[in-house]
Amino acid sequence: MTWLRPIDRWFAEEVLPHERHYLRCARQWVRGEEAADLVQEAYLKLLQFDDWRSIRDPRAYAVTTIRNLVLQRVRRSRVVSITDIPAQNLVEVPDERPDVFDVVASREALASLLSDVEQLPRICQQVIRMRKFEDLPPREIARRLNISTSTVETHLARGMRQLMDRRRAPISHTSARKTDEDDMLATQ
Amino acid sequence: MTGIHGHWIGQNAMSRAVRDGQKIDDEAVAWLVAIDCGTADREAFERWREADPANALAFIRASRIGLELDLIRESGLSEQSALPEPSTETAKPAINRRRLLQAGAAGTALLGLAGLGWSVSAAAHDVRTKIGERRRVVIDKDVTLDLNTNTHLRWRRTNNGFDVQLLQGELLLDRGMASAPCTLTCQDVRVVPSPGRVDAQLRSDGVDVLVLHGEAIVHSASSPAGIRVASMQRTTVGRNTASVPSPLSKTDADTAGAWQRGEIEFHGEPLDIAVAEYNRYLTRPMIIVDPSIGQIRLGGRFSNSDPSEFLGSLTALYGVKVDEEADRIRLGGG
Repeated sequence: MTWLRPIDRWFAEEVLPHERHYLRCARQWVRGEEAADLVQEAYLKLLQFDDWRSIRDPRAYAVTTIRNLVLQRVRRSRVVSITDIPAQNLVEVPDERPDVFDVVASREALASLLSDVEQLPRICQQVIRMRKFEDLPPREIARRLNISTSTVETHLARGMRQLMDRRRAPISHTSARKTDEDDMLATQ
Repeated sequence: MTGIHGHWIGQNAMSRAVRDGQKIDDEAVAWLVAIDCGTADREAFERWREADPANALAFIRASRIGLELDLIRESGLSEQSALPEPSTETAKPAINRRRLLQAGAAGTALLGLAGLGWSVSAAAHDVRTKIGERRRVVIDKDVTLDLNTNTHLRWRRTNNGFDVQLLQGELLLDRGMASAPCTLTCQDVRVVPSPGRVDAQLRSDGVDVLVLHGEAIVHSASSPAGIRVASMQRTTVGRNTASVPSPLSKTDADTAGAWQRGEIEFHGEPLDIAVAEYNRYLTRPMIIVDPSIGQIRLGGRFSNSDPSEFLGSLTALYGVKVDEEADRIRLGGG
């Protein structure tokens, strides 16, 4: 966390929180898997943009970047499964007041992350709890569990990796959360 | 790191990207943990981060998880949660029910599914088709999902195989001999197919399961232990009823598979049923305005995307009057 560069911090605070909005936009233009792919590509472009400080509205800028990538792909015919004629559709994306969603989402995110922690394998969970929730130094964790500090690191990494994977789930699908999809689930 | 699998999706050439993504995530987490534990070499880390913006992005994402874990401690949320006793761990439900209940409607729906073994262990993939569209998704080397018109499903990898959840429409699941186990969930029906081909359709009156090859065990509220549906058998499971498996004729099997060829087949069904079936594929539906023609019985094989031949036959054979309007096709008596 201390090793994040200014651009990383800007990205984490200004760009990434609106991920659902980007996916919603991207999904209007291409199918699900490709939408996540597009958003990822736009992120990489933004992270390579030297002049990021000049971007006044990072969220809108990200959407424009995604849109340009769609057009680029259509031109190169790289996208075969584009779901709609893009020209008309690319103009406006209805804004569903994403900021409200994102705030709620972040509160939910902590609860859901904690629930993910509770599902980790026991030893990973134990090490993550000690390191993150009890703030114990790695050496103390190693002593208490009678394992080496490098094993502590391994378990930490394994646990974090699984948490990251679970977090990937929203990237591939849940961003459609506020659409008909959940209504469909809810009415079942 | 952990055994994370890549997956391959249809013609979508994402497998490499996904696999690379997994590897990058592994590295990003390893760096984050090394930094957290004070064992990281700053220069080596900077070289890694500079090498690819995808590395920088993965590191930001990993850092975010780290930050949120800190926030859980700072917000006091972690105090409400404790490591389960080893003896109770196996009995622990896969998801935290209390929290899901708090999550509202979507959570409640998930909870219902949890009882049927719909695990939330991995990322779910959402796939759908529009009216008139077909789509094939290869979820593993030997597991294929064919989606018929107007279909919506989710699939996810579990510890030992795949969970597929059919939310709408019709699905043909094809499992090769050496493929991982699959579970197909549709409302409160759970189908566990052996290697082979199973067609499942969610209809207004229940779930229709056809076993074209292999066999399947069909679990439902009325038969929780499951009933065995053998090759070339079908069963329709209603809200609270499971009908006994009945044999599937060669004709039934052909009809069931017709959609994969872009066709629709009728074998003497009444017109109102045939029209309802045809309408699944049509963005401009047919409507019977004269009930007296509803009982006309017909047979034949037609294109499921273009009903003109079907309409032509109706006119030629039965004198049905066809009125094509902008948003529908009206069928009336001659």
